[in-house]
Amino acid sequence: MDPVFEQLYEKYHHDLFNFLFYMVRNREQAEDLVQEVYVRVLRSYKRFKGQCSEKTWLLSIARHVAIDFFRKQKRRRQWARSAEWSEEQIGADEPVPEEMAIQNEEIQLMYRCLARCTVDQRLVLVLRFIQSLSIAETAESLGWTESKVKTTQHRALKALKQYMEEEAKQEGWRCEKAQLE
Amino acid sequence: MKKLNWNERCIEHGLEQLPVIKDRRTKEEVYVRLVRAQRRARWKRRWLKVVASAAVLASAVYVGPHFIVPTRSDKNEASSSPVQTLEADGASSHPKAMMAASEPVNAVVIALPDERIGQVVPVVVPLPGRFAPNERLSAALGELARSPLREASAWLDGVKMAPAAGDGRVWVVRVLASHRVFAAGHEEQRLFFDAVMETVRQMGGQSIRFFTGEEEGLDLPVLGRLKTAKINQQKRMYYQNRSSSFGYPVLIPAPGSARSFSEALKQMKKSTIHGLEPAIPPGVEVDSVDVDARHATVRLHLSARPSAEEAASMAEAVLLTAKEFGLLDVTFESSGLSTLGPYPLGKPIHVPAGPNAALLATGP
Repeated sequence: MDPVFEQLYEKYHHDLFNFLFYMVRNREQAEDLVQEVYVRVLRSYKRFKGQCSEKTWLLSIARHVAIDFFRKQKRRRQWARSAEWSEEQIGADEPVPEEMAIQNEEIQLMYRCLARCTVDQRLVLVLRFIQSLSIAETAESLGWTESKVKTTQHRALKALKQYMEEEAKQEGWRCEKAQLE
Repeated sequence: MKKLNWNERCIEHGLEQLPVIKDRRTKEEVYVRLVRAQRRARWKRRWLKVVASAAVLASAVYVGPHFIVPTRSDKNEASSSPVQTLEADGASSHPKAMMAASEPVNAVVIALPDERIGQVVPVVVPLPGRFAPNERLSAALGELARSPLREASAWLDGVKMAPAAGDGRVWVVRVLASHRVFAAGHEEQRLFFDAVMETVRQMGGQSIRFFTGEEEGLDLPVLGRLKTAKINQQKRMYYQNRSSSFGYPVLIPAPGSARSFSEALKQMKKSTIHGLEPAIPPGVEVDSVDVDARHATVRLHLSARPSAEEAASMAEAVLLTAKEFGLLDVTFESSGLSTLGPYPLGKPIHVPAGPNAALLATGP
């Protein structure tokens, strides 16, 4: 086994997987993408000069891999619209992972609403609050300025709050309706 | 009732509470897949280099003479040359062979990518004997490899298609991990995928499970990762394309919304798909269609007499469309004609085993 892989795996594998999972929301796709991250990392490992921490370097590569994935998905959707097979035929409904299914309703609602955020917003929320990176580390991973991270984070939290309130209201409305009936 | 309002701090706290999703694979499993992915990536890079150098070489060969020979006269010559028209005329001569489904022929329809028109062209390939279902495709590809269509059929080398256990609705498609499609451009990948889908459809499949080597899924950059795909079950109507690289006008199926054969014939008079023309010429109208069990009678009204070539093409398109609707034969009737190309009027004509049979003999 490649010693570089072994070392990276021990230190960062679960963080990488977790990051990619929250970005793509599908276990199998996250598995494929983490593979792609390792391929790119091992190819350029010798060129890594340590200007930033290893973890932020890995996460910046993972971010590129995730963005490439979303681009492909977008092309695929455009193509599916014009071709003779439809989007849902190629698997659009992502199952909720077991780890999430056992959480309380509020956490599950948050997970669902996270999917409605833009890719940039999701990147910031995942890195800042799920990966617990600082503003500076997040900026390094994303190749952004710190002020851009702050602005995106502010907008992302606001958007997530709005989505959660919308969905909760909708579900609450349903509860009342059910009682009336 | 649930809580309806959150402040930013609550949201931040909630995000921090989201569970850690762990990779369930072992380190060894991840490593094995990594090695495989690295091999694939290396192969892809090598291929891209080869393709890039070939492209540079080809453009040098093409551009080179233009630096020496004055280009203006070349351009004038090309635009005023009668060769283009002659070529177009030559290409329109229609091969009129058709293989009837009722004949005791053992045949497979294989869809071949045609990059020039950006469509896949299904071609019926007679098999030289009886084969097990999982061997029929490779036998047909063997036949194509000896035909003038070998270049187009080479895209399906290294692809195995066989029905999964059961009623034959689910097919398994295995693509070699070293297949050239993984290093191909987006358009080539799209055509390859369409060719696989249409080939399976022609063999009666309704959905496909993809494998790359032994690993489940097909990872094409144009599509992303795909494990299964369902084939659109809409009935196809046949249209004509005159610009195929195979050298002759070809019949191409396109899904339509028609619910009956007679509705399909009405829709076939128009085409909304780029590059596909109606095979029923403008001077021919479908007067009426009678369907009795699995036999149909089509009465045509002619305001202009179609050429023998147009008539043959129309008859074949109608017969192939009839096959899509489960019909066994079609009787054509018209007061102004005695034949439609090689097909007699007033007698039932069996639906063909598949389209574009003559391409095998003539080729590009």
